[in-house]
Amino acid sequence: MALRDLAEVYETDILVVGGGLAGSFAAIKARQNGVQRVALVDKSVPGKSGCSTFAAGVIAAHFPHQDSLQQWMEELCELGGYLNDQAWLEIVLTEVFGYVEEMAGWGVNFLRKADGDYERIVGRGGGPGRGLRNIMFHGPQLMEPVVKQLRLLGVTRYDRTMVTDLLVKDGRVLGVGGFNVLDGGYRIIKSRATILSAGGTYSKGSFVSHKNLSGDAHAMCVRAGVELMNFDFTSRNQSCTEFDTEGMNMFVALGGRFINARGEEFMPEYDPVLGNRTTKPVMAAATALEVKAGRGPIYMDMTHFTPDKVQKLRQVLPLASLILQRAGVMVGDRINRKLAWGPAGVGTVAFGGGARITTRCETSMPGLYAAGDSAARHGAGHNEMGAGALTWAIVSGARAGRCAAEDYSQFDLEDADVAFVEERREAVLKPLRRKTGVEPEQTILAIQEAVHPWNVLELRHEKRLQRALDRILEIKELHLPRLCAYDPHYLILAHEAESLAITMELILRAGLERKESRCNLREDYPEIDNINWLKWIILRPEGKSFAFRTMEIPEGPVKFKRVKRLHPLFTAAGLTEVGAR
Amino acid sequence: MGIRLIQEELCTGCGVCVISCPMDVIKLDEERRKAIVQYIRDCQCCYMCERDCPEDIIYVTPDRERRIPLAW
Repeated sequence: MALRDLAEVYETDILVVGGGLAGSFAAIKARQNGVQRVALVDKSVPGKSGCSTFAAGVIAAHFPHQDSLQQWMEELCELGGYLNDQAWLEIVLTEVFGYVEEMAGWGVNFLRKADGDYERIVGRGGGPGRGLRNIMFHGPQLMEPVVKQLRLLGVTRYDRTMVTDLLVKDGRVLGVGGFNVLDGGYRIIKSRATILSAGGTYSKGSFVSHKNLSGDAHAMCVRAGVELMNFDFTSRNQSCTEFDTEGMNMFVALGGRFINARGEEFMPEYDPVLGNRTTKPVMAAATALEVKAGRGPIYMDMTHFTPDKVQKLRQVLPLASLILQRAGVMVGDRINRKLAWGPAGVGTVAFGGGARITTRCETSMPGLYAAGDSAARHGAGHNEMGAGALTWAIVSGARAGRCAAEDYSQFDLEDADVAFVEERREAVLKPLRRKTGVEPEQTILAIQEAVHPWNVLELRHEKRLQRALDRILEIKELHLPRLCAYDPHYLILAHEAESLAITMELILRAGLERKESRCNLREDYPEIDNINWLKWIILRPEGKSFAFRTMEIPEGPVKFKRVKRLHPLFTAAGLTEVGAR
Repeated sequence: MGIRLIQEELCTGCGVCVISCPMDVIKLDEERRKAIVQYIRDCQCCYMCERDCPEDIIYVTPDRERRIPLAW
């Protein structure tokens, strides 16, 4: 039997998996660096898929001509819990401005001042005397000129194709396998070099537009045996709990306040410097501590906004503004009630786990590169670099494209083993043939029920992490082999359920390994431990399990103190002695 | 609730919303040449279809279709 008997087979020189901002940049830079055949595959459609289209209007952009690199590095290392890869951080900060200018040249609308210079705003992670600044753009307009560049440069597109597998032979990636989501046909795309930029996940939670992010890239890496890291931190955005919206960074930038059930503005108690503009880890932990203390639920209050602030929201966040209008919250030039607020999913968007990469975006497997949320956010440490999700997507995407362009000619186009492809094709399409079984949405709901409660991943304890892990393993055993798909659309959901289960297993297993409080609080290990835990946790998939190892954070220009102390959030919550070990 | 197709009679079957939907929710009824909402439970209320519809006949509500377990 030949591969062509099993699948539609295509080939290219460089293949990019995932068409958000990172993947688009990768494809564009590969073409600009002289590669003739560049292809982009997406389970949806580039420019609509993933979270870039719905990015909430801000990019943390260091301006080399006016900002201090040292100050930004220091602030971001402090925010990142000193777990940043400083070599990567410096690269991201020094390279992003050039790409911003390039995007402006393509037609991306950034907000400008009267003199034509970029308008900048202090967002999450910024404050008085601090350097961090964000530039602003017009919501979903961002991706349209970027996708136009893909067309102008002749990037081949395989839309509506869900990649499920990296094809590996003799320790090298030879391309990908997956299925056409419109007709369920199996597809193989052979490539010399492959760039993984298929995003991360927010557990298909309650954040607008993040529902097709299901950790597919993480699952592919696990199946192929690619090294991963940073799954011991969980990225957790927050949003309105009544309906799906976005825009928290702009909300707090304009003066939005977190309020507890007593009507108290509590965030300055937990973060006296940044207050409501605090970072995601502090926000997640502080809201959880308020709920634990019986002062939940939590609200976002913007009822004090003046008309000019509401106008700014409409300009920068047209999508969120439309949602707030439809929900009856934004009426004319006023916000007329506070929003019920809380965590909007758990996962790896903006910071947290992904493939471990070098500063050339190489993964541990030859022929495979990673960028955006599919890669570990090396520069960010345990935080998101202010509004740095797109910053990372842009710089890592561009680097992956450029470096793959430099390297691809060393790799030959080769066929994967027929037996391997046959086995994977059978497994991938199997849910379509099951007459009875588990609906994938039931599995997704079960996974969310296991990991969404605030006392699992926000406020952690070994017992609760272990209980959640046991439940995920049970779901893997009971649900995954019985998933059934009525048609190719449900087959997407079946594979998303599997990806989510794998990603949550990574998060819970790695979370159990980190025995300290830092990004996420551990009630059983309440100290920030800079003596023993200034380390990255690296996972290598081995069969059905994982091998863990730690790696000391390399020294960089920003120095840190090797001390151990009670996490200040526990102190702020009045908990001087937290849970016995 | 999610996506609502309003004024179906004005749909020209251009297929723009089918391409715009990141979630594969909307299909084209080839026979009638009209858009149909086939997988309403997967609508993520992202407004892309409403934003891109050239005939302006799609309305998206912010109310999600699926229950999502909250943190508290």
